[in-house]
Amino acid sequence: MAGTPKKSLRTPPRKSNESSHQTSNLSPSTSKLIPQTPEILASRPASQQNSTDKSNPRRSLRLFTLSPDFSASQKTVDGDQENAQYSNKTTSSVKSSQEPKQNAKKHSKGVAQLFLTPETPEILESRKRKRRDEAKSVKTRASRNVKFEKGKCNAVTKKRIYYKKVVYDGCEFEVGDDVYVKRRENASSDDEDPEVEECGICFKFRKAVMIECDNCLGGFHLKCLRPPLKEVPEGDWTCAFCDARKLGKEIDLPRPPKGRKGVRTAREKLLSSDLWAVRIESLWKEVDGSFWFRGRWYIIPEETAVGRQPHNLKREIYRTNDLANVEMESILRHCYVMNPREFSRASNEGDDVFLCEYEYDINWHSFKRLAECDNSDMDDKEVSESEEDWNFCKESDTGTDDEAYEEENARSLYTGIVPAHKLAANSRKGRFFGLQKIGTKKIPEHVRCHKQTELERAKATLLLATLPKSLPCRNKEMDEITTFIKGAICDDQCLGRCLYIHGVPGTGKTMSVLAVMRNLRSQVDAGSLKQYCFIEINGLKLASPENIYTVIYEALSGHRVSWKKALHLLNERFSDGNKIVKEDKRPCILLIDELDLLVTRNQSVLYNILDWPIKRHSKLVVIGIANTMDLPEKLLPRISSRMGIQRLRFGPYNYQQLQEIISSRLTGINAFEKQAIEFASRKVAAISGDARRALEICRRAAEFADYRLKNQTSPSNSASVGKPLVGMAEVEAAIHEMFQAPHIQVMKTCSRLSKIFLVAMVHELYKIGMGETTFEKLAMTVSCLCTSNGEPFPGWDTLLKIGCKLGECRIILCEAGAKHRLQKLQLNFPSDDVAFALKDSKELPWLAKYL
Amino acid sequence: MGRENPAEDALILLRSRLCNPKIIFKSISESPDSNYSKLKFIISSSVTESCNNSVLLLGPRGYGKKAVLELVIEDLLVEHPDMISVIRLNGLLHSDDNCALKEIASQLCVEHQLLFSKMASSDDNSQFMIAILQECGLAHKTVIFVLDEFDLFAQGKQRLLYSLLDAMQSVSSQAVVIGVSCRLDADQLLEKRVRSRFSHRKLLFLPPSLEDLQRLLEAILSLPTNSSLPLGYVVKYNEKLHSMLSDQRFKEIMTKLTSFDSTVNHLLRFLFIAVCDMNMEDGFLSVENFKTALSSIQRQPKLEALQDCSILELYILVCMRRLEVKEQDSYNFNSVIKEYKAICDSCQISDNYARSHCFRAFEHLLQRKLICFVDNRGHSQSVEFRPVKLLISFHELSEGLKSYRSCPAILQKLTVRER
Repeated sequence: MAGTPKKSLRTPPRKSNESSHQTSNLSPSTSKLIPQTPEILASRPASQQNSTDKSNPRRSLRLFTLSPDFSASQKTVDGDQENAQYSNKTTSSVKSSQEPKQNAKKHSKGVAQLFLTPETPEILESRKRKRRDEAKSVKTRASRNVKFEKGKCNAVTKKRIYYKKVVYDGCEFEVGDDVYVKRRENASSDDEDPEVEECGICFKFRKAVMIECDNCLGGFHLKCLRPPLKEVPEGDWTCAFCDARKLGKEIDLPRPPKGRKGVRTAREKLLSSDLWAVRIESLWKEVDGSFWFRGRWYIIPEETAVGRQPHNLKREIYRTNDLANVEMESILRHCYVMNPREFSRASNEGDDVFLCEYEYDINWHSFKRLAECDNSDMDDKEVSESEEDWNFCKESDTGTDDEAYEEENARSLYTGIVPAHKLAANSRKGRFFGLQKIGTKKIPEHVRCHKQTELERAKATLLLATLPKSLPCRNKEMDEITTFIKGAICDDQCLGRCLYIHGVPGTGKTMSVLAVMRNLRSQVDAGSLKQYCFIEINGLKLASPENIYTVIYEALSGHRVSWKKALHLLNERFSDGNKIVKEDKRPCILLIDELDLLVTRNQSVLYNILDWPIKRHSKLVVIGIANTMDLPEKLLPRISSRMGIQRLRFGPYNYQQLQEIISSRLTGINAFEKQAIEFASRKVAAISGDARRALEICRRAAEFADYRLKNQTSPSNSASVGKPLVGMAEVEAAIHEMFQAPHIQVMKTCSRLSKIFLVAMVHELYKIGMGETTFEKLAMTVSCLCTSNGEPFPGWDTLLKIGCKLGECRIILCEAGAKHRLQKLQLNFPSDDVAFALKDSKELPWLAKYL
Repeated sequence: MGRENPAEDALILLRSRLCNPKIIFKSISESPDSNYSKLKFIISSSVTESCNNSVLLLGPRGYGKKAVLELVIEDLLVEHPDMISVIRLNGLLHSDDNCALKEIASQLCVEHQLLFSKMASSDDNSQFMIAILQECGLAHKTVIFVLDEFDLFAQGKQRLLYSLLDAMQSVSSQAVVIGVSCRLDADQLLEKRVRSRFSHRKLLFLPPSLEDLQRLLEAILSLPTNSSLPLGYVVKYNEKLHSMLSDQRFKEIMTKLTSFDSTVNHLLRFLFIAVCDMNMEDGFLSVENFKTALSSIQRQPKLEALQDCSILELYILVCMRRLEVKEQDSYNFNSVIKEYKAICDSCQISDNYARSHCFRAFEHLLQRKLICFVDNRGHSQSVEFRPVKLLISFHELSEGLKSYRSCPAILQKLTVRER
């Protein structure tokens, strides 16, 4: 996975880059400017800022561009943060930008209106719900704003302005971008930044296709190679020098022509720690007009505590949890840090491509895999939370805002400040402390340099935890859910919206709803749908049904209160229309999984929850999921009348659907025989139609095959490489393991006396015809059997013990042994099973007589 | 060693072997078909391929489920240091969901050197668990949950199992849930939605075959030649042992033992008793040692209890037996006494005791569980009036009377004769 190297192709000029500027002319000029007149660069046309509109500073994080080139409706923000607050933090971590900052501070007033370069940054942003016609009136507004700002200079300049995207020196920088940052200001050689890497053999810049060695990362023209290559080969390629070095030969690398130093590219500089790479977390304009960003450093493997590990790739870097505020002028240019999947796909991005799979904790010196999806989730959460904070703060004074911001900062960004007093890890109102401690000190080798076999890939895709790329077979249901939710959201007066989804386990109920919500989320992000909030609750994960109020209220407001209070507040919120008109109320979608768990004795919880959507101003939509079809009917009529109107049934999958699900996951992996999949899906469809079962059977079958393969020490059957590895036999074994009760095997192998005991039970059953017998009668039968077949009778107490042991593993059902001869006994399995198991027992052949 | 007698050292060696299940199970779990290697494959593939799994280890008690599991975990901890954390729960202790979640949180805290708060609510604990699972998954750490007495977790709403298994299918976690149960139908106890999330790997533990047991026996009992023990003694000991193992009497003892219970644990217990019985003078094991061990491991408590009874108590038992023969299903102290007096009158026996004596004997029998009350109701009733039942069968009673030291002849007659 991680090991797949980037496809070795380089385009000489970085034409693929978005900006049409000629970086080669520009970037040197900027970097030369820096030491002399930082303040000039730092100064931005303050006139463009429109600071009249007061809104949440953090809201601007979500802004997005409408027009790529001009500052449309600028949303400026009053951050309320004192500069001091930031400078506190920066002093510890600012690396290169301390001096410029001080300069900028000094000169900020004077140079505020200086325009030097035509490519001054244009600030691109707009608000989502803002009308677009603002763009037309930009000119006038801008000019007005200049006046405005001059007039109210004292009051407004305290504010810091956050942006989503900034154009600086003709380059667009967006939150989430990765950039190179200069490390030393006086390193003269760094000034020249060759855009095109020179060939490792001819040392010329030429417009020809270059190929990259996977070992030394050297670039070579295809034609310079000996023998010359026509096109870029598939797979890994190493240059002749590396090949030779591997063989232990002494080689002399071609030297660059005299009088010219070998020019290092930014990539080389970064990897030899002469440059830094930073991920932009937020962008803002300081009070004095200088542009800053908060960056998250990347680190190269050599700088970690364990150093470079053998499995590290050449282009691998780590993201750290170290943040710093850096002035934007120290940015060199863009680089591209990718996760392994993107990295393996990347082919044309040029030289500045890096792989980042892990986060490195600089305090604990530990590694952690980057969760691919967690970024977006966390951001969402943060934004909604902070917004709530903001709403709260508008009414009260602004002092709390700082606190809230601080808190949020500490939480979301791991500033690395270890709290002075230790906090308990598991109880801080849903927040956990010390989780950053968890991390590997060393990335284990087996996860990196291991090439996955077909079987392992099959196993990985069949995991229940892996989210499939597509969700086949549930299109109709998903459409229905989508229309339901869309209808509920778009309707201003949504009344009594409640959907009940039922179906047996493993038919994709929750998954479909979540997929629909993901789709809608992306639509919201694209702006084609109204904002809404989505709360997901699982009934089985609540400590008690009443707790659901607390959870809902916490999700809505971020505060945690007792359930009684939460119920009160929620009632107020949902039923009382006029009180919350001030807040912009988004429709709220409440997904309750395992709804049947909320049924209490007087069913008040369900009633309350289902009553809210009917209220006029509630804007609440409830989606309930449960297994039983007739849950509404089982409830009180007043509840079922509120819930049971709109229902959606998820039927069990039939075998074609199961087959499609499995094979859609297995596309591109040649590990399963077709019949094997069909067999598994037919079997599961006949029993339960549970997709999880079908996937698990296939995974287990793959495991069996893998086990067999790994135990085979001799690699003799390499002939069968092309053949699928998992066949009917494995699937059969997996099905057997999953559905077969193991009692027959246990009966076959249990001790002599246990066998006699069981046979006596069967005999007794045949004799009397009653399932239940007492120990006294059974002991008599056993003694009869023993004496007539020359077997020593073990004694009553021993027999009792044997009975209890059989009862323990539920082969028979029995009462406690203390009841002795009055103990009641019963076979737990049909007598035929016993007969089948013991008929041809070798040690006691006479048993067959009695069966 | 400073001891003069090599037999003592040998005894210590043998005992330490018998008390260490790891040595025993290591020797029988080498082959690829054994549960050891299967389980190890499942867990280690979860470690290396970062996937979730859930396994059930099924088998009657004493078949070595836990021992094999411990062996596997120990090996894996050595193979992948710092990557596995083990959370152990026992159904007898943590069958309550909240309590189990708290225990999980506290063990996770200990594992990761975090501070644990006892005051946390179960919501907090379960969220904490899920958060930690996620973090551990990101850090390539595997969490192994060992749920001993798994069937006891499958009571009530099964919130714990649900949230564990649900976390495993939704979060990028890396966890193995291992249920250990002696109930063969443990997976049927799970609720539908929990069962659907369960991976249904089942490993069935079966007792070793008789040949395996024989080999194991030899391996355990023979002394190593390359130890600190004097070589002459070791050679002689092993010779004697082999001759004993091939002895017919010894084989009989072994069949008697295995026909009752052929598990390894049972064998170990038996051997421990036998080895402790070893004659220290000559320092060799003899067949007699094993014979006494067998009799001490296969005891007949009811018969022994009869041997300790007084004559009067025996009378009472016989009276109750006679009442049962008369098809009088329910009887209490008073009716028993009536029968006793009737016997005394009709047979002119000398053992005529007062009612208070009889009552004390009756109470004594109750305490020894030779008789019991029919039901648990009626605690307010005095003992004399509560109906009782005989807890010993007719065969045992007559056998016991036969082997009683000084049983009056009339008693034996009374048991068989109606009147």
